[in-house]
Order: sequence, then C-alpha cells, then structure tokens
Amino acid sequence: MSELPKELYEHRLLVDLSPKQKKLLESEAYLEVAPAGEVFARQGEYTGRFCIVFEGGVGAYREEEGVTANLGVYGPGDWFGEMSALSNQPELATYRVDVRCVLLVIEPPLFRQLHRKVGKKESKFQQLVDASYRERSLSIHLRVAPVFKGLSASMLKQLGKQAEFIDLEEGTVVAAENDPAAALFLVRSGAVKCSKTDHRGREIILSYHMANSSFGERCLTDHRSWPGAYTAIAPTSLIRIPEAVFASTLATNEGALALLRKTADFMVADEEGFSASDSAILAQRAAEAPAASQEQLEIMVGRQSVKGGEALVINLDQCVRCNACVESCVSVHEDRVPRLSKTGTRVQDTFTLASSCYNCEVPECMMSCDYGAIRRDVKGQINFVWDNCVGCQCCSHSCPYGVISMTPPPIVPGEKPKYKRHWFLQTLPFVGKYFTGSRPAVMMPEIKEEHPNVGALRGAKVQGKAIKCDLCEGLPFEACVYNCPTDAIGRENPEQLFLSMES
Amino acid sequence: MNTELFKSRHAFVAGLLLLGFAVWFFSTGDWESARSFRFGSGWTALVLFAMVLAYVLRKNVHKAGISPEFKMRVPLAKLEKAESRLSGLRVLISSGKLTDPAEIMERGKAMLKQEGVQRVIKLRLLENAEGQQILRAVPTDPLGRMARWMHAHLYYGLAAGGMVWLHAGGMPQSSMGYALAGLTLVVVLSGIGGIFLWAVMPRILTKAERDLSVEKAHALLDSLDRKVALAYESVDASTRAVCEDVDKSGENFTQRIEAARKAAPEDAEARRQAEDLMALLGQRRQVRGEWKALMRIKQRMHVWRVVHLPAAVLLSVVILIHVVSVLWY
Repeated sequence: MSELPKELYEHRLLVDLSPKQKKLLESEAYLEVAPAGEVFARQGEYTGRFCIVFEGGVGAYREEEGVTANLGVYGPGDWFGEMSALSNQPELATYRVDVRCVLLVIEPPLFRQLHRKVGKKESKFQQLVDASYRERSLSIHLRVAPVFKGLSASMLKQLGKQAEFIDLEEGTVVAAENDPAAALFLVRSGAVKCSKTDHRGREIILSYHMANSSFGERCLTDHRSWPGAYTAIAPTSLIRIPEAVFASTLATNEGALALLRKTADFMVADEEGFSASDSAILAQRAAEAPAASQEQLEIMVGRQSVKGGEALVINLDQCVRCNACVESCVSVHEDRVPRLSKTGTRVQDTFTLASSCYNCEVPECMMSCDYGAIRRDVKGQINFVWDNCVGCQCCSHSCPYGVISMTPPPIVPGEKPKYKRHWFLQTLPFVGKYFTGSRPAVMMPEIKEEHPNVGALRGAKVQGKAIKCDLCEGLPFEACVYNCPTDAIGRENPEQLFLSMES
Repeated sequence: MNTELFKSRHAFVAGLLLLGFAVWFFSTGDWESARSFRFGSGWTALVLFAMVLAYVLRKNVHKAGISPEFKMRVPLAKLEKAESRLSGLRVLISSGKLTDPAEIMERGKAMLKQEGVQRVIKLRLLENAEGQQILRAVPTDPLGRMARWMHAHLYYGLAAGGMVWLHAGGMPQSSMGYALAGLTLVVVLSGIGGIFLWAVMPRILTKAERDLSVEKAHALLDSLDRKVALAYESVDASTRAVCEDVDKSGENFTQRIEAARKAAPEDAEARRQAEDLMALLGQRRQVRGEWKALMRIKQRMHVWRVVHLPAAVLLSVVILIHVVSVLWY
C-alpha cells in the first residue's frame, strides 16, 4: 500500500466527488500493487471490492460449463468489481493480474458512500459505474434467471440495455395482488416476499425471492395477474424488464421469443401446480398445514429467518440446560463476553433458533455500517473489524435477529480489553460471589430514534464495541457445538429445518 | 425421551470389554489364586476410571481456556487465503473440470497444508440433491466433540463399575474393598439416575417452558428489576414504604392495592404512580414465580450431581490410596 496519487481526482469516476466523499476516499481507499500472475479475486468469492486500475492490466476470466471465457482486460483508467460491490453477490469472474498493476481499492462501505446522488443528480461515479455494470455484467447476471436459460449472450445483452434498476426500501410493495403482471423482475440484492390475505385476514406467504432469483415470468404468459402482493422484506435492489421490451427486442427472433414464452408457461404452470420449486412447496404446505404449523411459518418469515444463511439451532428435547455452550463461548473470547444467548425464536416447541449470527445472505448490519467495521470474508461469513467500530449501534438496530450486542470499549484505544479468566468460578455454589471478577456486563443496545454518529467521519467518540458470534474465528472448532455434551446444538439452514419438521 | 445418549460405539466397546473379563472371571474358578486376573482387571479398571476422569478434565481445561486446541488458532488472513484458493478449486469442480473425489481431496488438502491451516479446517466432499459435488471446509474439532467424550464417560464409567466388582471377586474382602465397591456403586447408580434424568427431563422442561423459557424469564426479571427501580424513584417515601412492605410480605395484591391508594389519597398523579409500581411488582412476582417453577424442574434434572460429584471425588481418592497401597506392599 502506498499514498494515493495526486492525479486521483482527474479520473473520470472521481471528478465530481463532494468534499465529504473526497475526505472519505482519502481516509478509506488504498493503493495496492499486485505482481503479474496474482489472483485478485476468484469467481464465487465474496469480496465486494471495487477497483480502479492506475497502472498495468487485469484480466477477467469466467468459468462456465467447463469453458473459460475471457470477459475482458482492464487497463489504466478502467475499473472492475462493480457487480460484486453493487449487489453484494459473489464475484462473477476471476480477476488475474496480467501485467504488474497498481490498483485503487475501494471497500464496500466506501463504495456505497460514493455510489450516491450528489444533491439531486446522479454523480459521475454512479452514472459510469451503473453504465459499466449494464454493459459488462448485466448480461451475465441475467443468466441466473431460469427463464433466460435458452437465450444467447447477445440477446441478453440487448435485453440488459433496456432493463431498469430499482432500489426499494423495506416494506415497499413491488406489485399488488391481481394487478396485471407487466414486467419480469430479477432480485439483485435483498429479498421480496409474495403473500396474500386469507378470508380471516391472515397473511399467507406464497413464496419468497432472494438475491439472484426472479419473478414475474407470467408477464410472458396468458396468466397475466400477480398471484399475491410482492413486498420487499429488506432494502432491495431489483432489475425490471418490462414486457414490451421482450417483444421489441426479440421481434426479429421469433424462435427465441417462442422459447421464452414456452419456458415461462412451463414455470407458471409449475408454480400454480405447487410442485416444482421450494417456495411453491412451502406455499402448498402453508396452505395445507394446520393452524399451528402455519403460525410457525409466519413467525419464521416474520422474523425473517428466511434471510438467514445458517442458524444455530438448539434441540430442546436434547438440551440438558447445562450452559456448557455459553461457558465455552466465554472461554474462547478474550473479553470474556459470550456471543451466544440461548434466547431466540422457538420453533414448534422443540427447537430454538438461538440468538447467534446467521451470516445472512443480505447482511443488513454490514449495509448499515458507515465505518467499514463489518466485512464479509470470502466464504460469506460476516466479521467485525474491531478497530473500526465506533459503537454507533446501527448494526445492532438493523440486525433482524437482534444477535449483535455491545460491550464497553477498551480503556486504551486500539487495545482489546483483557479481563480476568476466573469468571467461571462465579458459578460455584456458595463461594461464587467471591469471584465476581472484572467481566463486563453486556450493554444491551438502547432503542434510540436518532443515531448522531451515522454518516459521521472517523474520529467519532467510541461509545462501545459491537460483538456477535464470530464462529470462533481462527480456531479449529465452534465452541458451543464442540462442547455440548448431548449434541443438542448445531448449525442448520432454517428453511431446511422447517421443511424437515413439516415432513 | 432423548435416545441419543444411548447411541454410541463406546457402549459396544465397554460391553465387549466387560463381557471378556466376565468370561475370564467365571472360567478361572479359584479367584483367590488367579493373580493374573486380579492384576488384569485392576489395571483395566484403573484405565477405565482414567478415561472417565478425562471427560471432567477436558471439560474444565477448556472452560479455563488452557486447552491445547487454543494454541492452534491461526490468523483470519491465512484462513481467508486458504478459502480463496479453495474457491478456485470449487470453480473447477462446478465446471466439471475436476470430478475425481480422490484428486479433489488431495488438491484441497495440499492447499490447506501450504497455507498452514490444515489443523484448523478439514475438507468434506458432499453431494447435493442434484448429485453435484460440494467441497466444504469444516472445523477439525481436534479432540472430538464433547458429546463423544460424554458417551465414553457414561459407558466406560459403567464398565469400570462392573470391573471393580469382578476385580473384588464378587465380594469385597477388606474394608478398603468395601469402601471401593460401595463408592463405585453410589457413583454408578447416581450416574445411571443422571442418564435417565437427562434423557427424560429436557422434554418435561421444554413443555413447561412453552410460555416462558428460563433464559427469557432471566431477561424479563432483569428488565422488571430496572423498571421497578425507576418506578420507586418516582414515588414519595410513604408510598415507597407501603409498596416495599407489600413486595416483602407477599400478600394478595388486590387487597394491598387499596393500601397503596390510601398512601396517596388526594393526589391523583401520585396514586397512578403507586398503582403502576404495584402492577410492576405484581408482574415481577408472577415472573419470579414462573421462573422458580422452571428452576425447580431444572434442579431436579441435575439433582443426581449432588450425590455423583462428591462420591466421585471420594472414589478417586480411595482408588489412589488402594493403588498406592497395593504397589507399596
């Protein structure tokens, strides 16, 4: 890493940054010198990094169905990584350094700050990045929608040119029940649920659409109305392709249009027959399930368990409440504060989805952190960067599961607190009170209307540090699972857990 | 009933061992002169007791944070680099360029070794529903899961009890023998009771926790304590005294709420505050009652430990004395 070049702001992406954005860029971005042959990011990894090439060249290679395709070479002045940074999705290609290069690396929190409107108009950064995304990545991204399986790359590119990008707040209705379906949507990031209300006024979830899934194929069929209301259940970014675009783009290629309609027909028939996709199975189960089971499904969707990657599940019929899981969690953390709380969502009276990090597909904590204190590693796990955390509590408020808590900040800035290790002696009968030690209490975040630190620059007063399950970072075990004497605790996908319980 | 506690290969090993010694015992005829049997069964019993104690040692060493696995910690950057290289391998697998499981594992293991993380993560090659190969990196769990140690503790403990009985020839010959056999019996029986309680009681507690779990009751009590403390601050001294009296006496709240009203007969605001405080105290008493009921079930689940733990400590001491005295004389 070295100092940022003086001609930085002459770059066409950075030419109209606001003073605040410039200040952020200078403090957060960094230069990286990569030797030839180095792999900068691999296809399928979560990096979220956006890079601008200042010297040298980087090649993008995508493996698909056994064939490696060169997507392009990025030379001085070019940039790459916008797809991953924009949609928080795994990289679509492997980026390998062809000629020794100097890159300006912009991490996701800073990228989000730069990819914003300046005043009321789009910044150059936003315009150019969106344009390059549309040009380079959208056609690849569109291929994740099953309906496009049979279309060629050039056709997808044409469709992509007329696609619209839509950003929605949580709770925004994308489409209302029974309205005519007039567009196909691809979820770029976030999540959308499809629900309808029954005669008792209860909401029944028909399906949910996570990142990289599509809905609205029915706009290409004769079943034109939406089966339910489509609502964003998290801040969501969608790609919208109006029905008219299909007709105009593929007008000259009737075969492709017919194939598209046939595929869409098949998908809609499948969906309406409640037989093919997991979401349809869930919808069918929801419709058939007795009230109690349906309630569980609603709770899980309401609690947004569907967003979770893997949940820590406690089987209460096996759990002897010995507290070994919490105690072992304490023993692996230097600050002696447990990351695990056994309170959580109870499912069917037998399982508890413990309050432990789900490493969400859509990590709202990370999206809400303006300090770069939360990052996603290549495996998709969410990690906290201790030094960057200012204790603004935005992450703990935005976490749908409430698994992030706050601990007092260290006495000496930059140093992790070290507490005496005799906390477990407190649990001894009669004499435990003499071993209260210096273990700090966990600060439960207070609900505040305003967060004065949000959007502030570095140097904000540190109020505390956010902590959550780190999957026992760097250790050869996950302490709670490893130390349970009855195998009552383990990691499971909440959706699969629900399906297994139903069956 | 939680039958998971009974599913263990250690049960088979322990049963086989005990059976072998039982056959040997009944085939020796004259136990008095069968020195080799007594020698063999004694040392085997000692090894079994050591294995039983190993569980206790492993549990507490880990709790104290001095377990050897803690030294295996690797920096996150190393893990990320290894994961990044594994991603490359996964791309090859998903694109169909690499299909041989042996080659996949060999390449993966080599990557982990080169990055120096092979002691922290290991590889598993799984197949998904569509039959595609999935390469997963999972923790190595170097000492094995505690549940396996628990199984070993249970079954080698039971086997050790039987071995002591065989070692004593079915009938203790001395006061030391009686002490050993008696304590072993107490430890084994309390342990069996423990297995039964651990198998049965979690479900009972789970049912009782349907409305409020122990953990939630803890959190709720903490929150109510804070609210009560705040509410006490907002009332005057005489109202506080009445409320404290009600809280301590544990009398019926509907009867005593009148007393609270009388404490502030004129001032409507003071009366409202007193009533709020009374309501909070009532809630706290109710939650505390439910919490105590749950705790009673929880205590019943662990009551066997009251006998098992002291008897086990005593047994360890007696075994030590027995071994030292036998070797000495």
